[in-house]
Amino acid sequence: MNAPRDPFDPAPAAANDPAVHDHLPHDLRDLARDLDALASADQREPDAAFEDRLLAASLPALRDGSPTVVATIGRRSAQPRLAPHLAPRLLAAAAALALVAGATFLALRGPRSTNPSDTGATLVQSTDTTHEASAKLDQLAAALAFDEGSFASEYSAITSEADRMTKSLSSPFTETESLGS
Amino acid sequence: MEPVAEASPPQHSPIDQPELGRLLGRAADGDEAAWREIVRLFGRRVYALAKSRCKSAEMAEEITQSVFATVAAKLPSGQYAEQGRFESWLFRVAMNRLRDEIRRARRQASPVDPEGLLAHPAATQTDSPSTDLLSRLREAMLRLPDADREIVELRHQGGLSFKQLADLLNEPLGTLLARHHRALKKLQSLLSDGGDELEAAS
Repeated sequence: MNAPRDPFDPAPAAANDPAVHDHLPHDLRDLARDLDALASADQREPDAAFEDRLLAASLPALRDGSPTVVATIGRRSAQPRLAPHLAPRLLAAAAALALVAGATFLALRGPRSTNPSDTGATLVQSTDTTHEASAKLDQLAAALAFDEGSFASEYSAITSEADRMTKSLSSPFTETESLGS
Repeated sequence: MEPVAEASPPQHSPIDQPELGRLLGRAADGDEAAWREIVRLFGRRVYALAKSRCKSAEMAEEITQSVFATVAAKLPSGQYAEQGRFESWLFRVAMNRLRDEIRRARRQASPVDPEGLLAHPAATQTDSPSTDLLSRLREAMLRLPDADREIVELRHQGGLSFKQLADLLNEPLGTLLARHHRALKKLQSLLSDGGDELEAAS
């Protein structure tokens, strides 16, 4: 007659075979089999092309020895993904940077005055205007960064504002005339 | 609790160690047919583990692809030395990748539900009479403490033997048997009385 099995001292075969639950007390064996059924359902879940996608994703790494070259081959995307919520933020940051860089370039280039006596005053006003423009751009960039939802309208606003400032910065004659009057 | 009717056992590796060792050696030499066989043997087991952890089928597949890409890159470079422990190593890579993903999800509120609180879509995709039971089992698993859940998932979803678990978790076999037993008792409690006793004890 077999001695009763100690559930914590199973036969090696039982301990090493995931499909065998002899080492468990009787009341837990059914539960263990249900867990196996759950696992089985999960394993059957992917479609028949699952292995093909897995191969497509991993074979380049086997050939090249670098997993970083592998893009995800999935139902969701065949391209490396950028987190969706980062896209508008990156776009906003890029737009703000481009505008600030443009305004700075125009400010450094300075106004082209035809009247040498007005050049100093023109430069002072141009510098002030540039500071105002930078502050405004900073505000707009901050608004863009914190309000991704209204990105489209903010982008439109910042573009038109930038156009307006660019025109004013590149029209020294207007400023010179106003100073001279 | 009644067992699930007509439950087929999950897939385990139907290959002996010497043959697996030969396959790994050929794959390490760039043999794509050998690699294809390794993918066929282990891909769905890694997927099942990932799915149990992150709940999203798409994310589980991405994680599985990432795991196999990592392993494929390491094999030819000699970062895995065949000592009959490939499955433990593979699932260690998978667990590390899953932990990274869960940490990232907690930081970013990403599509992965790090607490595993979402309903499991697979539970509603079959007409099996045991769907309700499996669904309850999934929900109960989500309420298990992390350490208990880990060993249940590695044992059942991952299909690892206790010896492989001992390699993977670096714990004695007896400890793992006791941990598994204790985790199942908790799961049983969660299923039978909603886990009142478990919550009272914790």
